[in-house]
Amino acid sequence: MIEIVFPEAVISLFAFLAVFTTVFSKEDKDMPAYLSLAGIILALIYLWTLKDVSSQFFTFVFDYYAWVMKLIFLSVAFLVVLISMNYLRDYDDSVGEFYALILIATVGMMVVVSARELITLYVAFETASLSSYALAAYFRKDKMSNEAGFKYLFFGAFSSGLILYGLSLIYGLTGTTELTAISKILSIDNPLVFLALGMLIAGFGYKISAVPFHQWTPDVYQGAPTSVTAFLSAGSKAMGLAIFIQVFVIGLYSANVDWKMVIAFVAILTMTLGNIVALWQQNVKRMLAYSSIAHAGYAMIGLAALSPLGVAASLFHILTHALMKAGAFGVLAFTAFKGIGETVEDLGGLWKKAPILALAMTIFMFSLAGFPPLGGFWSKYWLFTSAVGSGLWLLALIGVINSVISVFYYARVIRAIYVIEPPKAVRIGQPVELTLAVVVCLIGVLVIGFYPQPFIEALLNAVNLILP
Amino acid sequence: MILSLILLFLLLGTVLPWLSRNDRAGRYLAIFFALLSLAASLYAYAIFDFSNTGFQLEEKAEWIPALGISYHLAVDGLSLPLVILTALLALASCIYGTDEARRDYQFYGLLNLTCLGTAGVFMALDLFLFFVFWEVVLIPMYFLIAIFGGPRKTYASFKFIVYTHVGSVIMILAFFVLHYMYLEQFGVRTFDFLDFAKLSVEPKIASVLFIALVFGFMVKIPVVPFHTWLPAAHVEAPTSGSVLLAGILLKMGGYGLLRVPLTFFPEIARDFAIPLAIIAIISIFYGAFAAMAQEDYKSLIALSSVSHMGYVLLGAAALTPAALTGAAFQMFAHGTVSPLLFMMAGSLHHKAGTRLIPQLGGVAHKMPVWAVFMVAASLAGLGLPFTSSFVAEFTVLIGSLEAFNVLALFVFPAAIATAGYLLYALRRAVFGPFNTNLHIHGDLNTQEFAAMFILLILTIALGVYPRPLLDMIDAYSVYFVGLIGGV
Amino acid sequence: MIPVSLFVILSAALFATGIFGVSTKRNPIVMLMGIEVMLNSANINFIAFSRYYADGYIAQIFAMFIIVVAAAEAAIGLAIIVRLFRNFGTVNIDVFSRLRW
Repeated sequence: MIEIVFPEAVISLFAFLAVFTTVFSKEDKDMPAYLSLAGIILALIYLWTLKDVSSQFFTFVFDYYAWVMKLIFLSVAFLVVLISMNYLRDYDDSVGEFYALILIATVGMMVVVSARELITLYVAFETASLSSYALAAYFRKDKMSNEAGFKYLFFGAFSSGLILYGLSLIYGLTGTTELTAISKILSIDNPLVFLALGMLIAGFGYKISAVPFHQWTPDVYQGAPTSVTAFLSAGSKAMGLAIFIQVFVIGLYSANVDWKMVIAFVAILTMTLGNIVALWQQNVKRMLAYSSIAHAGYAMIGLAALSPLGVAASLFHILTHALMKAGAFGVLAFTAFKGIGETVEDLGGLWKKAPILALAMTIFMFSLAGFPPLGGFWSKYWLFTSAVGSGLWLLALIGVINSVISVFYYARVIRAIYVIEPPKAVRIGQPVELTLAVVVCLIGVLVIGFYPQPFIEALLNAVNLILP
Repeated sequence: MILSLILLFLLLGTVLPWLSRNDRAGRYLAIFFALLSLAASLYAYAIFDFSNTGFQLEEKAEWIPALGISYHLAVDGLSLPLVILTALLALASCIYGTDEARRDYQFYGLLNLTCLGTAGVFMALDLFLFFVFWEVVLIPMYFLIAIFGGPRKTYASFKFIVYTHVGSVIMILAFFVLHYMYLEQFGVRTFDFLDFAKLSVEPKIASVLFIALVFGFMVKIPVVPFHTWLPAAHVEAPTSGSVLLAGILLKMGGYGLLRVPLTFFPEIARDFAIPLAIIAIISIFYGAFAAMAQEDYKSLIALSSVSHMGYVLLGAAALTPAALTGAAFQMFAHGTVSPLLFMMAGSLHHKAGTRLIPQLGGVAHKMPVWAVFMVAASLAGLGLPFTSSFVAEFTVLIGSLEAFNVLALFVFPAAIATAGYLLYALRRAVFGPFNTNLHIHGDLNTQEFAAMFILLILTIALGVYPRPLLDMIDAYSVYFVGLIGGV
Repeated sequence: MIPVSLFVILSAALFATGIFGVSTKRNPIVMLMGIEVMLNSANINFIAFSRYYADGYIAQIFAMFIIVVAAAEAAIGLAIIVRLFRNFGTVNIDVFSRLRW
């Protein structure tokens, strides 16, 4: 019963504590971070004991799917806090709010996956989104960060408007906010259904940066503080997909509306545009932003396939993508605050400056490009096979072609790291917390790569539970 | 366990030099572990049962049961020689060393990693594992060219990765199609080579798969018109990189061709025999005549590789026991001769500062030992009797005469051309009056001598007494041709 | 009783106005207002629909939550706009092109 909300409660409490520390000292940059880590670890431990629980607390549903997703979100938050610790130590103002915002956003994400009802879902994802807007603009004196926050806010708020209007129409058509009830009542008879679905696809499309609703992504990812970019790419993107799955797969599964083809079409556009534009990027943050767009496209393949395997593959992709991107942006956070820079050339000779991070970055790039046997390969494998299993041959083929194209820009990063030798490259100290976070991501990518079986099985179980 | 041991030694030979972060220690560690892997592969040869025609020394462990992927290694008469060759070249290339002292410990690690991937390709019976090793090879070779290469290394390494990656993506797609067809026919998920051989495939689908697989492997062999990455990669690669590239990377293509499409679709292979033979003969010709026009010694040798690897394709197309034996033997023979020639070119570049034939002349006056090796290597390259290439090419010709009659005779002019370009290059570069503009710094040093000596002895020994190798390969090819339904 | 379709038409008109405001105006404050108008058009829908269903109070609760969230959104939005004005000296969005749009 009520114990299922304890993880969220713990995180909220520690978010409060993190802010509270700034009352005493604005100079202490580590205290709020340690508090946040403690809160996340407590929540993780408590969550672990809830593994087999299936229960409900008012509209808050806890099941295996929610458990798996919460685990992912908490891990992402943990990694991002670790990355931020080094990144923010030189920041000239208090950082307690930063960690608090990350924790609050995490709470929002955790509630999202427990929501099977529209009001809860809406409030939860707005909690996460609003905190993310503030996080993107956190560097108050940095024009880029301001601008990123501004763009993120406007596109985000605009998409919420679209989503809300769509939801209001769906409520009008069905008279309920329960997702399972909606899927029983909603039918194709009324043309308003198309309008509502169109708005929802557009609105959620903004959240996961699907083409043509992707324009904000590169700007926000580039401008935001790099550890926030890691959070957006690993956490918010995952939340967007989770909402997509819950609303479309649970709510509109049997709605007799052929939204699958729309998703398939958007998936093709998204991955192709993301990969092709990424080819020209010089700024690695921006390049990875486009790669995030492309990966959103891959993830949508599984939703278009709409089989248990397809949805599980999308979730699997969320997991691997979160690890790869958190790690990759972690490395970029290192290069940013050490003053190395963030363009492809700036990464030149990173192997000499920071060998562990350079190796990790290389493996993340290989994994993103889909080299076997790394995590990224398996998520693509399951996505493409699920598409073939649902008869979407063309979609899978375009996915394969895309992943071949993507090799080129990832290879540029790898080339810069190992091949270029700047004349005065010296070893730079690799900060402990950040390196720890990156190594955790690296181990995750390798473990999933060499032994993907338990992960896909767990996700298949989770999906079989939520699919009607 | 012996096969895993070979891989383990090569893995240690990769990782320990990297961890040592010390150029000298890295070199010795790399050589030591390459030597251990060679010893292990010779031990495998010693316990190999020549009377057993199937796969031996099998090792199998579950890896990803959900997809039927297993860690399945085994060797037969086709693959064991190539495994030994890989270990041998790992040793030879590590002994030969670097072209310039720069990031040495990384260099030696990359050499052993390349050999690790290649040896894995030759041993893997699970096609997914095969593919993983196949991709593993790509990465260190890319770095070898891109970090340690010549002036146009960026272009060459990029071209290398594009060509071979496209080839391998098409290959993995074909594997997945086979996987799903097996799932449909038998209701079991598997990637195992031995299982796939049991599939019955519609001729139409089979020909598509055959073409896809053959394409994937032909890029790697390489066969005209997919060969353009090879001269670029060879010219820019460091010497030891070229040694591995010519010695074993090209063999992955030949091995894959013999192992995968021919075993799965022998009937289709018969249908395509004439087109494949024509492509092979074009390759043999094109390589030989293009080599004639080269001024850079390295690109001459690279194009001669295209020509020599054409024999492998010819033998594979003929599908007679003799032709297959010849093709497999040619892979081994070329795997010793071509690395030797690349080492010669590399040493020439060290000592004389150039590899361009017109700028050379009379090198024999200043580098007598080098010249002796060079003449021997060139003679081996043109297939003189008592060298291993002769045995190989002659056997391929005999075998393909059976299958193609007159068509096979077209190879002879190319053989003459091969003799032509190698001897012509020798005459211009090595003999004649000494070119006084040339500054030559000494003859071969000990490490170069040692590496070359191993390869040269092996070439001649197998030319004089090819039985040990032939017996092993024969067991495979006779059995294989019997398996797929006679001549 | 006023037919529900009239409310839907009203809300659609408001929604269109909001989108128009967001996409054509160059002043972030006006854009923010456009977004508020969009959210409120959804509110009108919810309230109008609430009368036609037995458990229509859910829609009213939804509307309350939307109002709360919209307030929070406006607060964060205005805070960011203040920072923009401090840093750039203007709030015209054409100036914010450090990152390509």
